[in-house]
Amino acid sequence: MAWKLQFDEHEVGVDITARRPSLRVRIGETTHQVEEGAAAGGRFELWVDGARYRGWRWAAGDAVYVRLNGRSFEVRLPRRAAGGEAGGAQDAILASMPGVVVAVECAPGQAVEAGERLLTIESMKLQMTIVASHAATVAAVPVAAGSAFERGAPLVTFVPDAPVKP
Amino acid sequence: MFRRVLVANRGEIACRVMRTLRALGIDSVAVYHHEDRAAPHVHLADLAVQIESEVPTAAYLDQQQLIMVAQRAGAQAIHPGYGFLSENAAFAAAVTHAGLAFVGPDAALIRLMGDKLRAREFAVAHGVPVAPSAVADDAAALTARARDIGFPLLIKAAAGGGGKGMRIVRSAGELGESVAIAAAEAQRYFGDGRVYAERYIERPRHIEVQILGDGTGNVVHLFERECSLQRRYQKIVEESPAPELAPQLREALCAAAVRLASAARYRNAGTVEFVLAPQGEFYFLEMNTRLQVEHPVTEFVTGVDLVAEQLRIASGAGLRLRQGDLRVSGHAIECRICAEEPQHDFRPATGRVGLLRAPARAWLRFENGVSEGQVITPAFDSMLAKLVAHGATRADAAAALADGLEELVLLGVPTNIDYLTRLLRSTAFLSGRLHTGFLAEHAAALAAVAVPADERAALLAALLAQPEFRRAAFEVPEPHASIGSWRN
Repeated sequence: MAWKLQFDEHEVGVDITARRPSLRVRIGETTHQVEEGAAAGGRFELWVDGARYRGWRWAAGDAVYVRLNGRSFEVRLPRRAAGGEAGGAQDAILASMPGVVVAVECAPGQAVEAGERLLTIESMKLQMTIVASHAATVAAVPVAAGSAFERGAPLVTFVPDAPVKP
Repeated sequence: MFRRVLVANRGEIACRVMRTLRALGIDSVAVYHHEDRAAPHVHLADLAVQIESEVPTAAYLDQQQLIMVAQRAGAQAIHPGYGFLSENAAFAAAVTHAGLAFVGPDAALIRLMGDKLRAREFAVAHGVPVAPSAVADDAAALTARARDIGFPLLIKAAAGGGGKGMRIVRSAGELGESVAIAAAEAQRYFGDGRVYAERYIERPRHIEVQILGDGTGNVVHLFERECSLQRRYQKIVEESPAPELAPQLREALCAAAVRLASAARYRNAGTVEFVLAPQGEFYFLEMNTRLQVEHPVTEFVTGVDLVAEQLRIASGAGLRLRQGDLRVSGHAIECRICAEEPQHDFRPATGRVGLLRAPARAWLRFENGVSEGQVITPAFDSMLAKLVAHGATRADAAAALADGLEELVLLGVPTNIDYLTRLLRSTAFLSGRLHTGFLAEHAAALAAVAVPADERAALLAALLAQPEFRRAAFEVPEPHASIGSWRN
């Protein structure tokens, strides 16, 4: 029984190694004994290897936000680490938040270098430049200047990489 | 004094204004767009009226609708807060024309200070220094004249603000193109493509002076604020008094601000912004003809309620404060809590405020604009709240603010709370040697440091909030009620 989850943008593997006499959870390479205390109104209490932790947590959809010792953490949904996940980088730039396109600075068929400007978008009154993270060829730009987009919407798609790369 | 005042704003500033209205026994009228129906200002007001618009921000910018609501609600005045219509001369004129009082200066003054070029001329005419600059009607002439200032220089929009349409030019080769880009940006944002060039001050500080004027030339200052800590040209930490500022320089800055406001026969609370060069020269930047986001630090150190003074002045009761009565007591620091990801160049974030628990202490002010359950969309500014601390010394205020931030729980949307905590505890901040490039310069020292034990515990706490994990761990699924706040 294993999960892969996203912890503050890092991927972490988690596994339950024992349920009795107490819960033991392997995180990465090390296994920890876990006991739960009282939880109410967003508060939690937890013992990890005998050390006590008290904090706040909030679950929303696939994310859990945790506040502990003056720091915030974001954990994304545990996904079973079964095989069959699509590998490799995505061949599209997806909007990380909703916004409006200010200017389109690339066109389908155009070869772009890493760092080259592709789009200018505006979100929450801030303008941001979207640049290419790697050299690629633009396949399509499904948005136009002035158009609004939702979180997760593709802004630029690339022609899939040639199989051989230096 | 007014009996009923409409607050033409939202978020923390609407709540802030309503608090003083209540303290003065004045009814408050809130306006809100449908998307803001869960926002705290709606519930805080004595009367709340929904305003209509397809685009949420447009509702708060709809002058005729706001004036109509004010009239129907029987308000005698409109307080514009900051942002939105607070520095809109046409709105100030329309409000007055409708027989209501505008809590701010008159339209002509807003127009004067809103035009950066005219404001600079006004400053020069009244002995307030401005940075060496070049002004011209067309791009070619400006490019030619700008060379004489020397490099680096700044291209700024005449109608600008907030860094929009502003560019740093470091060599003559970039000049022509930068002027063109800045003009295009200025045209797009402000509908006014006029730009000018100004000497760029390296490692500048941004110092501003709070003033109050009654409209007859009677002006007092409420000392200065240090606002140098900025990202994306937006302030995130402000304080009063400014650290490491020589007393003569403080006096000169405050005197220049009073001179300018007095010459303009300024009415309302206002702020005169200056750029301070490392060698101590200072230059007029602009005047903000409204309440500032960072006004609470001034209120903490002077004990003056600026909103109450604004209302008194707008109602015609005049200025009751005298310069000799005003003193600075201790030190206050404010930080802006924003929905953003500091680790990704402060990009804005969205989400839903799930849990909100704020510390309550006599030395803290939590100026909040959100409530639990409220969705944070990109429709509005990313600032959610402010936390402000007052201490006997700067170090005390910084420690109290950092403690307060650590206690603050705001979950459900990524915020800069942890970043601000690290900043306030950093030796660089505590040294007091600030400048506008400070956050970029100290980016590495301000990055998050891993605390493996806490991270492990947080990860486990999160896992235990997931039904799927609980089923696997405990076999028999427990009722949702026993796992606290989990919701789908």
